[in-house]
Amino acid sequence: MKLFNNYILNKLFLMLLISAFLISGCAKATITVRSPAEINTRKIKNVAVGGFEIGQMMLKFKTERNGVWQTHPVLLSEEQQKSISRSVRARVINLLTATPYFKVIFSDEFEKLANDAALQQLVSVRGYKTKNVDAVINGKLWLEIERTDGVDLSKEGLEYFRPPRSRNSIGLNLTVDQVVWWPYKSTRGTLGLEIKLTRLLPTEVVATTFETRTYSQRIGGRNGESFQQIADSFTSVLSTSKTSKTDSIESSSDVLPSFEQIIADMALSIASGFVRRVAVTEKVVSYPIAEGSFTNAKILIEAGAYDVAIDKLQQATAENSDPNDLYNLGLCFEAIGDYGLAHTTYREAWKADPENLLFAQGLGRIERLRRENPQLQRQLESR
Amino acid sequence: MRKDVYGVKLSAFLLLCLSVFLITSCAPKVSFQIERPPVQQIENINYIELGNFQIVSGQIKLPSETASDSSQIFSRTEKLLKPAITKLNSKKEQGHLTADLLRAALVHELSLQSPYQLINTTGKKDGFSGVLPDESEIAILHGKVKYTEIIIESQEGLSYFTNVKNKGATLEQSLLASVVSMGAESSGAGFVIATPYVEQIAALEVEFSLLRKNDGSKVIPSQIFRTYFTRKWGGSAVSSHLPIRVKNLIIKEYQSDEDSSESLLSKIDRAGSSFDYFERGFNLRKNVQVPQTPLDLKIRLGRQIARQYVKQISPYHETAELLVQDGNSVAVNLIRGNAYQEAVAFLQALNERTAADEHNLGLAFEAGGEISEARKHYETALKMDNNNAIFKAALTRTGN
Repeated sequence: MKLFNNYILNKLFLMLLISAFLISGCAKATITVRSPAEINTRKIKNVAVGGFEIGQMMLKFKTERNGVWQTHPVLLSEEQQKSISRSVRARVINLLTATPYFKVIFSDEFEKLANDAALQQLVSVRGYKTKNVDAVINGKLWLEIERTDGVDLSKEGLEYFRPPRSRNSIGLNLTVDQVVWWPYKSTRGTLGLEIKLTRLLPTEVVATTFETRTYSQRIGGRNGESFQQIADSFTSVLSTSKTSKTDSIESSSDVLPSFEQIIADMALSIASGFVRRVAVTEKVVSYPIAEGSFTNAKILIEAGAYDVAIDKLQQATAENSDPNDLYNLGLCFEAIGDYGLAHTTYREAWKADPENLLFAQGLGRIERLRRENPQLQRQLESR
Repeated sequence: MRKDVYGVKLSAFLLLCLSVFLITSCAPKVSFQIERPPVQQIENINYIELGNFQIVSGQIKLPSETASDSSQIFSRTEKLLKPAITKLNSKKEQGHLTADLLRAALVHELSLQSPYQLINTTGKKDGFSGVLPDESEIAILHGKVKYTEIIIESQEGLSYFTNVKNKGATLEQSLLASVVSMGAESSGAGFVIATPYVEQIAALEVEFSLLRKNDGSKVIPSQIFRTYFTRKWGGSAVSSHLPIRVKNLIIKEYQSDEDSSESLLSKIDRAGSSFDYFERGFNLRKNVQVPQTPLDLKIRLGRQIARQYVKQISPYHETAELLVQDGNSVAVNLIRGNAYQEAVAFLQALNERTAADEHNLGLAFEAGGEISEARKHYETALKMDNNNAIFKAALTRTGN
């Protein structure tokens, strides 16, 4: 019997070994790659920020009692509207100055213009005084925030339990249905923001983005949306794992945020999307690493030491061209944004072992980047 | 001893399951990023200006009127709330903001997808009075916009039938009690209590025309696009101000993107970096129970129409799940790795190609946006294997 137990143990060990092999066989490394700007903005260095025109700005309070709804619009003065518009503009400037690719020229010449048409007119006749500006960013915003104070209605079972009074009685265990009114407060904000990058010479609208973000939160009321709860718990885990300035501010999910807070969060989110389109950004991706003869490559790539890895892998592949090493070299080139060299290296690896899916995937990634970024294709062809 | 043999079998089975799970979880998904050519052929246009988006009043056709006999639409009206919405009339005062948002959505899509340079996006004539390119290369996009938005905030009397359940009852008894109370509620018995709800119904219709700037001739024929939206928060799930058939049609045809089950996993998958996280707005709370704002509604419809129109005049990318045939393994690998150009070069260099190879060559061309080349190879594949359903489907898919 003992022998048999050993046999089972051996089996388990074998099982463990195979699993470990399979897991390591598709090991992926998290690497930081530079993704090119979606739009070629290479010649644009100095950027001035124009005004953010207001398309619509509306705040509403709503109340609902016994099915009777009332809406109270909050009238905003022109000054208040402008102040909100300026705060959105400030968020965009903040993000732009955080990227090293643009220099923001602080001039109020473009901000003073009434609207987009006035800006395009000034630009096309070259009537501006500010010097050394390559492009102007301006925008338009639409905002609507509603806050509702209402009551949910639902049927709930209330449980009654009476313990047995004597040994002979069995007690009572009943559920009694009751109609329950649950007061709630909710808020929903929608921000539509159009951001435009207009190059001055030659005049062209280089990039435009029109994005919307919504914010909706509810406190109180009937807690029936289990799916929503799961989603909330996931996103709350995600948000705590991120290191950002906003996380340092304590925010309770039991309190509705202020209008200003909602607007700021939504504007920040849209502005990040715009920066991705016009500036080189870094993103974290998870790609598989090949098991080459130069074993340290994996450690170097995982540590983000791409330059050292390139150096070592070039030496290793010059002596003995293992296609796995070539693939890892391609991965390093991809990580530093040298897509031309990445493509050549992946191709060499694939030629040496055409049946390898990993190498074909490397080639495919670069092809896809080229297809989706015609500007990048031109850069690669001009090499 | 027999027990021990079971133990061994069990462990072997577990081993097999684990291996299969791990192997399949490593396998890449064969999804394609396909570049589609514009639906309409555009010739000699390199620049686009946005012209006037005029608001027009009038009726917007209900979705089913074009598809089937309109007399059948109102046949089931038992759950219809008052006032019933049987016509969608465009009103000018709601249209201006929508037209402005539509313009913004169009500029966004054109800037993202199209090969054209945008030279005036304001719709005002005085923009860009400086140096302009050759006017015969400029197309001006005009639109006639009809928009209707009906937001009903009200209450409906819903019946609540309450009962007392004994926990000691059998399963059949408690099930029966639930069925009885549900039946009573649907027939209107019990307490009738005013229950609040919000229902939103909206429709947008745009007639686009693309005119050459030098002579005002049409670059492509004018086209009309329509889109609709309807949703109710609170109240009964089955009642509506819209006839139930129209409502179901709108949800099926125009709101298929609303499936919330998809969003959760992909959200987590995509939120790779903190930059991504903010960019995609995951930092913002989104409670689906809170009704959307009228601005949400206008933007949603404007975007849908803009996307549809830009596909007409500009190449676009879409993700598709297509079947790679079991042909030359090197080519299959290249296609699975999304390296279509390499796959085309490799397959074209082969001396002999099987029917599966011809199909895969077509697939690589199709994925790269070269539809006519793709068709040629699908046809060759079908000639080599007359009855193959996959080849036939590929030809139908790429047909004009």
